[in-house]
Amino acid sequence: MNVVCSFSQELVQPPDNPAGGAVWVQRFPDGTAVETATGFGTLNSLQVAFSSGPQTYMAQAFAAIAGLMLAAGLTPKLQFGEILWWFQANASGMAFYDADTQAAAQSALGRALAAFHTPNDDPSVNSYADANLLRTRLYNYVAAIQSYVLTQCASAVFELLWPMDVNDPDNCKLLRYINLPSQWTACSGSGFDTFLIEGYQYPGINHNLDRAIRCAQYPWKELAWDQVHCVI
Amino acid sequence: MGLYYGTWAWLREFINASRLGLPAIKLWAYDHLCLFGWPFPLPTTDDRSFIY
Repeated sequence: MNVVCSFSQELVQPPDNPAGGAVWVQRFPDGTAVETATGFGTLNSLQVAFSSGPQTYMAQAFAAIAGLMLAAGLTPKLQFGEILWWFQANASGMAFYDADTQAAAQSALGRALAAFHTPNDDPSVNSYADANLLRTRLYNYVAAIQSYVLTQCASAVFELLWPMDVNDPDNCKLLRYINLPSQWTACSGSGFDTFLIEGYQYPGINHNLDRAIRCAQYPWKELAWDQVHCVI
Repeated sequence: MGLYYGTWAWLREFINASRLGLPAIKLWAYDHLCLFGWPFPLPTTDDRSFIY
């Protein structure tokens, strides 16, 4: 039996306190947090921001479970599941405007982050400067967690679970760009051992098996992964 | 790949994915497979009649 462990990127009651410097959740331009229902009673969860608090917490959690897996005689395989900038907009725009990301944009670009309104906005605005900033924040967040885990458990391997439907190359061009850093488009150098692609919308909502098959083949047909490291 | 409800053509998707030769196909969520009593092992070809 093979086992892969993952942690949700949605946390219930994270210690988010932007005024106190603790940035834990992604926010829309109007300041609203990205909140979803867990399905358990009235508990709601919040999509984590790519900030130092969640990064440290997740790194420790991943390292802990890797240690448990190793102690149990398992290969410590850890999944980054649906780790992404939130895939829906509210009336004010996309959820890229937590305090840390706004500060990072101001520092790196010398101005506020561009206003992104929809998942299909043009990522090339300002010569990709804004989209690259978002993409790099995601990449750095994951790479830092992986790096920490490997210092604690050198035999750990990682899997990327990437949802293609909400990052659809044709209909969600902005999200496709920022939620799939270029380093992740091939196995070599990605930091991941396997690429698990999902696209539940294609068969389940669109009832379109052609798109489901395109999704299954996307990592090796349209990206540069080798098939032996691909999973659906 | 997902399997949620009866009208989802997930068995067809499973067979198609099997033909691609992927090293693994992960069913999400496995509890659906159990709760709905889906057939197991799953068919990997459609060369025999099968009630979807």
